[in-house]
Amino acid sequence: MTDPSESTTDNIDRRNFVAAAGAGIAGALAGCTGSDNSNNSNMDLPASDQSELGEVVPSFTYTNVAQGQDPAEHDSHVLIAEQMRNLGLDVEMQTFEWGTLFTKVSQQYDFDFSGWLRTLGMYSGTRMPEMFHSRNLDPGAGNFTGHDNPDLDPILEEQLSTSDSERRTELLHQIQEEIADYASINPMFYIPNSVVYDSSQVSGWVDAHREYEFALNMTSIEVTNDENELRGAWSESIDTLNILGWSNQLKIEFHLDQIYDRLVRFGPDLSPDMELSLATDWSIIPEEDTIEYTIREGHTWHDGEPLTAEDVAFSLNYTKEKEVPLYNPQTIILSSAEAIDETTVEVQFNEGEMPGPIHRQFSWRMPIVPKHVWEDVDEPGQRSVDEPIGSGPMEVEYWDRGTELALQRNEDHYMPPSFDRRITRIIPEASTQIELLRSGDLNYLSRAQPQQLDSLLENDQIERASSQGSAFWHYSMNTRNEGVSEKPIRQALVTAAPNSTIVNQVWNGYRNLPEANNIVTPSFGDNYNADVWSPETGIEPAVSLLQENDFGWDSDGNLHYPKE
Amino acid sequence: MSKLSYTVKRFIQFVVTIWALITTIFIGFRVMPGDPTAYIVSPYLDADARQQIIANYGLNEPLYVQYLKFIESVLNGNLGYSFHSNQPVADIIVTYLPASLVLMLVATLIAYSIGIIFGVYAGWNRGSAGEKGVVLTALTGRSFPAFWTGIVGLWMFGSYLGWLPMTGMSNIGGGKEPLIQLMFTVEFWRHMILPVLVLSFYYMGYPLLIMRSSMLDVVGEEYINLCRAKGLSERAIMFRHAARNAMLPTITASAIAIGFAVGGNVLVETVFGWPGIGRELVNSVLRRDYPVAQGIFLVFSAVVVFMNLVADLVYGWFDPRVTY
Repeated sequence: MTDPSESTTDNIDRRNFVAAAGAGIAGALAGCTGSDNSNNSNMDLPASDQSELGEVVPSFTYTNVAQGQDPAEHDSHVLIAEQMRNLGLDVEMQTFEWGTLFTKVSQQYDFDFSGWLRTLGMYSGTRMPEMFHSRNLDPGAGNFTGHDNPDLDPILEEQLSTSDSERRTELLHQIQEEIADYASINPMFYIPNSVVYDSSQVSGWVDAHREYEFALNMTSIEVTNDENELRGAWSESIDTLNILGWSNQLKIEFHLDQIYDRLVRFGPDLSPDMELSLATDWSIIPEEDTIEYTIREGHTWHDGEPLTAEDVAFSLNYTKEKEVPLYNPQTIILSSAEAIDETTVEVQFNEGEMPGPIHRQFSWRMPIVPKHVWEDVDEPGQRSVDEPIGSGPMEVEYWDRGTELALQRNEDHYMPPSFDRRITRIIPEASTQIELLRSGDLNYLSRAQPQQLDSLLENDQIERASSQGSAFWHYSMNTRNEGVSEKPIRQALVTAAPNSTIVNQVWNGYRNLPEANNIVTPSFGDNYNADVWSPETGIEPAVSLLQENDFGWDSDGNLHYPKE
Repeated sequence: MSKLSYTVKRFIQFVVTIWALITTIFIGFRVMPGDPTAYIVSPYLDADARQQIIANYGLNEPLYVQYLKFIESVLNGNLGYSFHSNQPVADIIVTYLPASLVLMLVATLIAYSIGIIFGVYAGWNRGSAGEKGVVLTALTGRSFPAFWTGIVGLWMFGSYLGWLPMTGMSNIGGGKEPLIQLMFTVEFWRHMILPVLVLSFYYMGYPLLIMRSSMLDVVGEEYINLCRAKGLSERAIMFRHAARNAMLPTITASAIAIGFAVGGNVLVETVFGWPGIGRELVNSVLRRDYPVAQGIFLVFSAVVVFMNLVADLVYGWFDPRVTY
């Protein structure tokens, strides 16, 4: 592992790291906003004669999250801003709590630089049109960086609609090349999925593209304690188990995923896992915008009622009819679903709107609920669901809101877990979670903080499983604004970004985080393009890049545009 | 003014105060920075779905429309639905309030009982070593933040010695029981020991110091000398005559303390994993879950105001010299 104090590749040494982070902390302590415009450069920028320089590049605002809210994110942005100053830019740091920051960046586009952790979910291309298509440039529409390239738009659309997987891969690679070259979004490193667990009680974790608490692992792991129980913790209450009323929080999804089946589930390599899926087969007819699913025979709901194709068709139509917001991306392209017989459902999409990667965009996502429970419910979103009836590998044994949720094995499921019960205890205090894992009262934690990992792993029986996921940490640039609208400046900032310093000094608890050059992570397999623009990082290459594009610096180290 | 007129007047004031509270709570949350949808909806959800959710919750309506709807809901006894979980706010309050009340009332009862007794003792024995010890203990309890004492207690008795459970009000995997049933188990009271001790230690100082101060005013009164001249025992004078007359400020403090008990104690609830309303209140504020935060604040404020009213009305019973 790199000694943090020796990391110099980004021209930020330990002294400057502490100074930069300290400035941020002081700013945060001073109030909601803070600024530090000092130009604390480590290298002498090559000064040009004033007559050879154009206008000075304007000042920028870096929108950061408050340090108290997320120290690692905050300090990372402080370091990036410091490196921008090292390149001769005047950057003011402003800190906000998360809600304000999110509004300013995602809704109002009122920022020059900002960033946070993002993930692309199951299919890397799903969110790309929202983030990069020129039709989404209006405030709140999703294209917050202002990425505006009409040539990219048809590619973004085609990758969603083509059913030819090779063509899709080719298009995704093109998109990644364009995004990297445009340099409006700078992915700094990938954040892996991880779980720490008591190896004397739990074993058998498998690599997972999306976290370790989904059915793939819940049906793979072995538990060897007297109670045959998997026991974990979450810091916030589990407030709802209404699959048609939740709002996409992971703490809910981790449990709904076991209570309800999905038409198609995926293995570690993102190919359909036929042992775990509710559908045993399917037939896609792209020219008719239709897919026919064959549903598992003899399967039942948790209350013993048979699960039929009629239930599946009802679920899809009902979710569309009731306009459940969470499934809006799926239901707006859905026309209707019909049960052909006891085990066959035909799903008709709007003309030309059937998604190409249909399972990763549709089959995996749509909720499958029992018709006999939901058909008379007018407002599914506001229904109180205390004991959800699903058909998944686990069912609710009891749910004591604010205290504990216990799921028990569904013995009648086609792929039940090997353990009897899964307990999720609500424990807000992180140190208590750690102590209970050490003492064996809990046997896994999927949300241990990086700073807790080192001390936890000193215990012989505590181990960690980790695998590449879909999450990446980035900072973005608002290309609508003067200065950031210049591609050479953006590319120079990507080049100068202190990736290794941030990984080694701020996020080192994660141990060897992979540095990123692409918003698509390698865990997307073929969809990942390793050959995108990826410069040698550091101040010097960034300076060279700017010089090649006729930018220059005055004697005070301020960056100027090329002379016209 | 007759007692009835005074009661009616105070009740009208109570209603006006509640209206002012409702309005303040509504405005207070709307002027807080941050888009509630940033918290309601995962950032991983796409922009279209986000806009639909904003419309579903009425967050795109003018502020006065939202205000009128809020007033109408409160008058109908409907506090709305949580943005975060879509559950009725009333259900959320009913779920979390009882656990807070049990914890806070037990801790308040112990704190005020001990505080009043030792406050009387300290005031009566001014200048003694006992008084100094009592005052020092009260100031110590008041000076240490309850969450810090809680963490130290957890580490000592939960982790290091392993004598007491570290989280919640029942054992992990112990099943679900109604609170009223759980309260009749040893397990529940074992879980209560640490948080109650921590809270009692913290709260005790306030009534103790108030009581001591009031006692100091009373012990020099002539009627105390008269009691002595009548040959009453020191204990009888101290508790039946001096303490009763010195009690008024403590009554006000205890009434308000009971009101505050409804709000729970977020830090202690967090440290001990106690499933109380205080934790939910803070989470709802952090998530900008307006309906839940407004609902809890409203109940909390209404109880504090109501308990203040009760304290005013019972003054006369404790001290016949009080007139209306």
